[in-house]
Amino acid sequence: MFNYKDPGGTLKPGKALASYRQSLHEQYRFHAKNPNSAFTFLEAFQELPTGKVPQVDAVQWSAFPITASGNNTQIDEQRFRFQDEYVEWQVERTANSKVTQITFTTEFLEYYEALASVGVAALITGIKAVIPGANPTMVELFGPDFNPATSTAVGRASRFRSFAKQNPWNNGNKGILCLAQQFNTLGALFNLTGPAAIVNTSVPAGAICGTLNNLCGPNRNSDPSIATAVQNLARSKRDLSLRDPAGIEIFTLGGIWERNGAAIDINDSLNNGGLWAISRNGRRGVLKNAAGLTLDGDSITTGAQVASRLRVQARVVSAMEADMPEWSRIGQEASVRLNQVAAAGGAG
Amino acid sequence: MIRFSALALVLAFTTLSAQSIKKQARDGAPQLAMTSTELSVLGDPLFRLVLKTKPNEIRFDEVVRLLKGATGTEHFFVVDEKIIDPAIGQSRRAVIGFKGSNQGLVLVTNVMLSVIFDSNTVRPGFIEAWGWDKKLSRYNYYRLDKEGGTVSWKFRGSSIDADKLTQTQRNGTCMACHLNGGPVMKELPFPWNNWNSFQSQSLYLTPGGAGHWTIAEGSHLATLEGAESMETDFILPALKQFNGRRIEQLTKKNADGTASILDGKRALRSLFETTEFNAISSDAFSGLHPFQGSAPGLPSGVVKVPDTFFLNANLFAGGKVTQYQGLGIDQARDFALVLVVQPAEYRKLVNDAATKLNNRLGDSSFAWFVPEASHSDNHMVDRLIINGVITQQFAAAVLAVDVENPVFSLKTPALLQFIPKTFRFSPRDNDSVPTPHPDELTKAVIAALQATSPVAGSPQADFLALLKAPNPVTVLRQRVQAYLAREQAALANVATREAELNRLFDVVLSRRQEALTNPLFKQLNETGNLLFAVP
Repeated sequence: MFNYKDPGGTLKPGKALASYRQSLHEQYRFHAKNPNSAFTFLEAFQELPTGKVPQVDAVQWSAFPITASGNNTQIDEQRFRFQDEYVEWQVERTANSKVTQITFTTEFLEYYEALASVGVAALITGIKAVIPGANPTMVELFGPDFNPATSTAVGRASRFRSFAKQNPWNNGNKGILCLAQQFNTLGALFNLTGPAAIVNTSVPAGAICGTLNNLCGPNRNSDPSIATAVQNLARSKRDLSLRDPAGIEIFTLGGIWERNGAAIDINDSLNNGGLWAISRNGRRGVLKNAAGLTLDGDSITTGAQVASRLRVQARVVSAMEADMPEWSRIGQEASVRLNQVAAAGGAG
Repeated sequence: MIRFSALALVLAFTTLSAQSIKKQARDGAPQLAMTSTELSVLGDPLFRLVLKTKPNEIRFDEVVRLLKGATGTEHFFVVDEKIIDPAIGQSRRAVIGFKGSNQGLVLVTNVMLSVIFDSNTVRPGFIEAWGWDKKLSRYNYYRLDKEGGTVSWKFRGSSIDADKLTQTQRNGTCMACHLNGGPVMKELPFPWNNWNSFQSQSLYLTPGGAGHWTIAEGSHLATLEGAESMETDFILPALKQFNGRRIEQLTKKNADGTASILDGKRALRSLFETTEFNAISSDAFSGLHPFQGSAPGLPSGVVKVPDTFFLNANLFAGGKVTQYQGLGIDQARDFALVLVVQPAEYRKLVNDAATKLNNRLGDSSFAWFVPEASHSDNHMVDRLIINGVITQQFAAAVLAVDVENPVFSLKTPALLQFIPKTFRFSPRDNDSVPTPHPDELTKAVIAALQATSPVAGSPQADFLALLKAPNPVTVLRQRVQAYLAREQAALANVATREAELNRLFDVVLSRRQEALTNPLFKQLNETGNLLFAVP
């Protein structure tokens, strides 16, 4: 199996990383074996001819949920209804409702499922790595009437997932860990990328999203951006995959940032006074709302306001199909080598 | 001898470097030396990082390098009315933005360049540019061209008082297109018709794309981004900043805590008149673009007509990408679902109208491409409300007069005359309670309207009645709901649908014609007959 990286750097002990890799490999395997799809295994890019380097494209989009029918306050408060661009956030306020901090996450729930599958200690250690000082109880993490100590690994992971929207360390009451909105899943990212890699010239590439049925939300920022980019790569006779570590990275904050009237390069982590910090390999971003901080001339009043200037990205790796190993090319789903790669993680 | 020649070259270069850029009021006008005083006030990044010390730097690559410095980044955007056509031998317009900072100057939204390139190279000797001068709250405009015989930079004016210029005063200046003085991006909203975007990627501009242009392999196109980034990272923030400063410049703080608007008609013009326009469309490709490289076909899907075609949904409802506070009339967004044109219906509309681009039958890249109320105007109105200059009720009263014409209204401009030269208001911020209706301005306008005894049924009479209503927002909401119900009924009924479709498409065509022929706006059509498809 490919040596998939730990995107957050906290999948410990090794069993957690192994569990995560296994779930990831299943996604790669499912879509690499999809007939006619240019999507393939990462292993294939390690077999390019000498001198051929894979191309990495960053597909970027705005974190602001363009489909949301609510105003900024409603978008903040109804996270699981509106925040559907693979970015979710928690807004912390003072007693008189002034924003103190906004925390954005793009980490997938599957990451913490892997920790939960190993055990409570691993999960809590992982949570504390993200939220220092966190002291979650079992009920907070898994809900009532559940004993993680006697449950199976699958049972713990499943329960953690199903309770993620009530978990106060994730739903914003005490913190935010990872994505939990129904469309913001690792599986959704793969389910979009794999089918979008099937060349379909019956429509312009920019309209490919509309042909993918419920796998692609045509009115969102994220899904059409990914689908169009992937379709264009496939049309350019390139085989492709989600670059390791697969996921969504926080890229930059746009807009005009000032503090007490003085311009700030908010993305310059060395000179922004610690106001904006990205961590966990681009999976987490924290904005501290210091006195006098403004965005486009306005004080910071909601997370959605900041999200409207936040860009995130997914990276797609590709190479000309002619340069790819024979076994990974379109139409080679039955090849022995492909199935060896597919089976490397277990049942294929 | 060699050493002498080298010295002579150094001396010559020093002399050239010591020169400064010239100023030129308009195309063809004399190029005049700038005084030290004039030069000393230029505070934008282009001048401070490049032209101040290297006024003779005419190489695009070097200008970009000097602007970026060690830590800034280049962001390349491409627009062209024939962007859909990958054929080699054409030229394209590029807009280059920057992020990060250089020598302590934050670059994002503060400096942009525009150049022309072909399949091989950026055209030498031509750059248009603007830079934001934070201290003076103005955009400075520059142009590198060959006017005067040799390629040189010229200062081409600033945004100060741009909105006051007459058409004659604008001719040949940057303000012929920058109508209010700020940045212009006509196709600002999704799907950014004519721009390279995620929705319409120009593969020939990417190094991995089949049949890509040679220039795509260079360093500039390596920073190619979609117009969606141009919209949210550059233009929306820039205009927001600019409008905020424009209002500040028209405002005087009073000793009693109130404030006064110094030129009421100027400050409120965006509420009554179309001072700029943007262009919106459906997200469906029309399949009818004459340069699409394939035979005319059907749209790529159903044509969902945008809500902003029917009314000013962005301002009425607020929210969404533009982040307006708005008027809280959420029903305006229901218009996004009121008209879904089937592909065959759309093709018939276009064919029946016999619209043309570049004298060839067809349609724009995206279907239902039409001018809409501009972000510049809408944000100005929203900012006036947020700042307390006007109330939501006052804005609603104006907008209710002509709900169905969100752009190029013929009714509301005539109402601007009733705005007093100056008026007081209570400044507010996000948290403060708005001044109750009717405020001082509303009372003054009511008095001015009553003094003219407006004829029943006229826009003036309607405006007066609206201002006197207990809550004009409620009246506007009722008009929106009635309009919605009427459109839904007309479009749902088989007997009336075709006629209503034809009527609405006629509205599309008339707005396109207005954009192309109105003396104020026709300068924005840089390609003759490629911007809007018209009969």
